[in-house]
Amino acid sequence: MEDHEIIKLYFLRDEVAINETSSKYHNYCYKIAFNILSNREDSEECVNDTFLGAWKAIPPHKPDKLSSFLGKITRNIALDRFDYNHAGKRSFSFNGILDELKEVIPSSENVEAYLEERELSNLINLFLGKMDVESRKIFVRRYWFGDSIVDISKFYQITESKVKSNLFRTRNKLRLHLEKEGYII
Amino acid sequence: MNNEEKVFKAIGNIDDKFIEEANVKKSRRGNQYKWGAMAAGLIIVIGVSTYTHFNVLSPDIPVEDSKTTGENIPPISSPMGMRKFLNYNGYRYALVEDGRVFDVTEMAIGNQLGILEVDALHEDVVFGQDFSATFALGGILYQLADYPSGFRIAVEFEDDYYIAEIVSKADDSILTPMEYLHLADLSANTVQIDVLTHFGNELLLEITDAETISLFIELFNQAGVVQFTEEDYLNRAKAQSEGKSYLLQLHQDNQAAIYMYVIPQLLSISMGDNTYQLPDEFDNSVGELFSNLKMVTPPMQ
Repeated sequence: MEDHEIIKLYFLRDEVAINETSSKYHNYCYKIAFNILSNREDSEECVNDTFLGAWKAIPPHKPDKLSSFLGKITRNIALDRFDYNHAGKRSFSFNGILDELKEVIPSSENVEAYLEERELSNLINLFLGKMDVESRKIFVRRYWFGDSIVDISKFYQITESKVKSNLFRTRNKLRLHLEKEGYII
Repeated sequence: MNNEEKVFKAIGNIDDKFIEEANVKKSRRGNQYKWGAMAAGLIIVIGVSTYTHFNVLSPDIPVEDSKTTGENIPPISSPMGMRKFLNYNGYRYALVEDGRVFDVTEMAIGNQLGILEVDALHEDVVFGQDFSATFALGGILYQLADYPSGFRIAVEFEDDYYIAEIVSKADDSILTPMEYLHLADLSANTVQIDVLTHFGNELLLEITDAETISLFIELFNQAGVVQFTEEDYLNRAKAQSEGKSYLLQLHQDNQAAIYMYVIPQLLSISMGDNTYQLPDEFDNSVGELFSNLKMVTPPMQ
């Protein structure tokens, strides 16, 4: 079923919308959750919560892109769940992603406290808009989808070393961008 | 929350278009061409196809048109070989940018339309047969969301995507300007018309006023299908060699552009592979827009 048809079902409050969403986007959402949580059961729950979240949000919300709309919900829920488990054993792979992002803003750096998450997102959006397409895709796969280096290399049919070096350069550029825009002081 | 967690969380709110873009597997060759990049290729496709009608390079040599000679041979778009074209749904499509690879993330791929399973050059194949092609045999045709009319379609072949655009009827029967404009949906989607030199190397005029744009398209709609004589072709070639032919770039609201050639002095307009006669009204209504334009002669004579 096409996305616009599924969204129509949500607007009609027809619960078939959830079944259709699940059959089309379960794997997509599950992978995003699993990349953060590395736990099958938690990830399944996260996906179910995503579909419930979509049911509550549509309407009034009418997403332009259902996949990224669902992915964002999944990501937020998984991140909340990750925080909940934070004291325990971290997901090894997700830990690696966060370690890489330390290079963007090292813990020793101060950030402008008044800048909200949304503003940081805007700065990152601005940065992404200026990047070349390949670097942007690799960056988004790694830090939005939470994909492993191996997965990205398979997905785009490029070598792992290319993925790593590309990400390294992009992180440095992002850091410079945030410094220039006054986010890192 | 640590700084790195803040960054990871903030990345969660990036623009949907970046997420969608990253969620498409990259083709093996992976060349990145935006829709906007169609421009150069279309100039080549239409430019060289126009060459077959206008005989740009050697205006003194008599020109034979395929229609007047009765030969159903599509004009070549590449001086290096056979034109890359395909036939689908009764129309001939030329491969944009002579068969360049496009990035699928720049396009919204729709329904599958069929498979190019017939070699258009094979002697047993009926001219203009649906799903025949000179390129990408075995490729799959897809609808493009921006073109429900099928004016432009995508071809997937060996993991790469190409764009094809209607240039004529597959059997060389008449494609009226009205039908062409309707398929391209120009009246609804044109947001700007640029007038450039024939070779597209210099912008001479930008038309952004909605009323004038509508007027232009209405005049194109009224263009007539006529049988051009050899003299007509020679006159067009002469006008072109004197810099009186202009390239029109019609910007669409989906960032793509459609290209046409106009010779105001001769009331001649070329769309796709065909050339039409504009109504006299064209000269009265918009002729003066062209009267003060610089005339740039072709660089190669």
